[in-house]
Amino acid sequence: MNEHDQHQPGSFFTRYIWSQDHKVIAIQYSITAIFVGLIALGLSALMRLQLGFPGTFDFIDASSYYQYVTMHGMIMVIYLLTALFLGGFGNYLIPLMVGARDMVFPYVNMLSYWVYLLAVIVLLASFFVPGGPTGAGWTLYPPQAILQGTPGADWGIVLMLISLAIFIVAATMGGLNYVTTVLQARARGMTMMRMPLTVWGIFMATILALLAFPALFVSAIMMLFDKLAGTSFFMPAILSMGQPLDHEGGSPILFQHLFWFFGHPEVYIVALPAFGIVSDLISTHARKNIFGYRMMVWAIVIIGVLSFVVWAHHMYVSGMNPYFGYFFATTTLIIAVPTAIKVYNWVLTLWRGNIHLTLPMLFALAFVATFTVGGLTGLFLGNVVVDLPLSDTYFVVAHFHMVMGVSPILVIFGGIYHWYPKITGRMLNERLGQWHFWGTFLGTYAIYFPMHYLGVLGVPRRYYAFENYDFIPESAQALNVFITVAAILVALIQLLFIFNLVWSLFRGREAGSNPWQATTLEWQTETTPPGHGNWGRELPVCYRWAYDYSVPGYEQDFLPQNMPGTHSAGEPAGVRV
Amino acid sequence: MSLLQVLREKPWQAQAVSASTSGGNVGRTGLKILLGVISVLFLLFFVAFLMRSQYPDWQPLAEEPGQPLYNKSALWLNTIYLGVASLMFQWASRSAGRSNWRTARVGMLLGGLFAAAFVGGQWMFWQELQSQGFLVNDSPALSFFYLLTGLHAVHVLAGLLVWLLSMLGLAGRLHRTDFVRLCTLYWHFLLLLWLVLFGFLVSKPETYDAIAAFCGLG
Repeated sequence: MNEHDQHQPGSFFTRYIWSQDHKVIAIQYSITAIFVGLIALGLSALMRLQLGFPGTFDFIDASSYYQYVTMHGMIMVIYLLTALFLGGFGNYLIPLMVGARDMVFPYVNMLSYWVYLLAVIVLLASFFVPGGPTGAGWTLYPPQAILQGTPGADWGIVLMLISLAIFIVAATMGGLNYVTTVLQARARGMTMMRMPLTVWGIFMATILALLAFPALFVSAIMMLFDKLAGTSFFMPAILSMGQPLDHEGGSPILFQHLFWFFGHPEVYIVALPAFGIVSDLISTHARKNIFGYRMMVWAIVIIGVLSFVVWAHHMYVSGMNPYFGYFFATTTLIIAVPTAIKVYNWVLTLWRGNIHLTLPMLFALAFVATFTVGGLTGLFLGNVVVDLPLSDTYFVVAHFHMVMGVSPILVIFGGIYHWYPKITGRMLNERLGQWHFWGTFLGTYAIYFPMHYLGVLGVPRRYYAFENYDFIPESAQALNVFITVAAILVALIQLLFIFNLVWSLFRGREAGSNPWQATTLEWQTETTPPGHGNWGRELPVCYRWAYDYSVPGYEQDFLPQNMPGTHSAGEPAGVRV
Repeated sequence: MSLLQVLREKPWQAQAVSASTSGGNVGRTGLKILLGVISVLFLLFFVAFLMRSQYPDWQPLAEEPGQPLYNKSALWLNTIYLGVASLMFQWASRSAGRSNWRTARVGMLLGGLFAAAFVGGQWMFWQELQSQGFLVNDSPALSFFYLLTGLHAVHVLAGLLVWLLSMLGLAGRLHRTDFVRLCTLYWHFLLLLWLVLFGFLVSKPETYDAIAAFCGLG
């Protein structure tokens, strides 16, 4: 039996359910992540209904509002974005882009998905237990997270912590695969620096995940002990409902440090794959080599390293030592440098490119704009003195939704429009896609731009209702109505996307093997969609980097990475770093 | 090639394709990355331990008679079990390298049994502590003791599960030198981790204070 035959699955079950094929696992991850993402989207719509039309909906009381907030945040950040970028895109693209037959540990990869699914089930089960899911806020700060008075303090918080621990086990199993595959299963000729930036972004994000998720694991386990065994890791001496509890001496700030030591790298676990993917979308759809490839890789590595020394900028108002604030403000502003380099390089890649306004390109452009807006407000919040008055206002909500909510989601959409033809063999419907793009892009600005103004007015976030606050003008409520209407429209427009995914699967235009005329290896497979084992009998050989677009002296404007020979007409055009 | 050399490569320039692929011992690489993740996990627990130790209600575990870890003889015995397990795996690894499979199998068997003895010994020590009234929520240091030794035991048990499957002949893995070597590496790591953990848990408060002050946590 040769290597190719080993990758042939047997029955229906081993092919589609208990599959060890990275492509099937990627689709399983993606469908599950999108499913829970839709639940979280529904929860945000409920939150907006309360904020836009307070008191109109009887079933939304203060407790359920906090539960919606908490579950929305946690699902979006962990169970949707992390799972979709690493488990979905990472799983599908890494082996194909580096020229491997599969992940190096296919069985562990399969387990990773099923453990992730278990984490999702445990999380969703909390909707059906007495007291419902936790309403502690996605940061789960003790002591309130496990005390009576917080929704879900009995069952919800326990299921949340257990679910997170299970998720981390799943993410670690996946992460071991992604990193080892990139390091040791690349095709002949595929040097690290010939890898597409998508792989670099996912690779670095996975390293961050492997190093940062343990911090969340530590805090989750210690809080479970505080909750279930009565220990006092985080719990200080405290009165609850007028009664003194058995806890004493614990440190809530310790939890915050652990949580944000995970929480800030988490931002980049989501952002780095998005950076990588958007680089490839822009280069491919502008028919131009990426500007400053090496600097793009360096920036990914530097951002990854720096992301571990900025965590306490989430804690300026926690009462920690003020000198910490000075240090963390400085590191936070330094991380803006490599990030800005990336933005410049995307723009310079577009400059004098042959820009095709395809759907992936539209989403990529929207990402650059949105990420810049979100990044700039980050400069405000990174400075301690500016952060203090803006802390816990809608300015913060606007900032992080722009920079790590909308931006990565735009890249996810762009990525799906880009790779759907490879995954299914069919194109997504262009007209539906245009509606989806413009509705989402303009709609999200309609939601989050006004929130900056609400924040500057001092409107606090996480509040269920704003009655009897003299400092909030009535016009703020008018803005809230507008935001709610926009949010519901944007949520409904996502149904178009879901419809498009299903409809195009059966009725979409045949895509052919390389509809975008891209250079990277995943577009050069023998069959589309690629079969189990990806490459037929012979593994590909990589002869060039991933960005040979519009090379002078060639008839076609792209040279696939597996095309033999060196450039006869010199090196590719473009400025080099 | 070093990381810096990799990052300085200019991929847009023409290069000859080398004959070799990037492939190496993927199992070993995967295991090393896993050990890195486990190390980070315990390192973060140690940091949490140090930060918590700076609060006034902290009570050391092994300073005076009557404290839970003052009598360490049972823990020393468990340490010997794990040390012997590690030695046995090393023996098995050497034998496997010389294709001496009979000895390798004996080494693997003994290694696993001693590791199981370690877990059993830890469990008995827990029971002993409980019978003396030292419960998990008695003091923060004791909470850390139960948590960290429990987590370490979970990692030993996970290793034992893989060991058991291999001893039962599932997947026929015992005949692969690589597998024996990976087991050996894992058990050396568990021993090292236990020694650090043991030393850490029975250290004097002054040691914690000094480390915490050095790290700026004091």
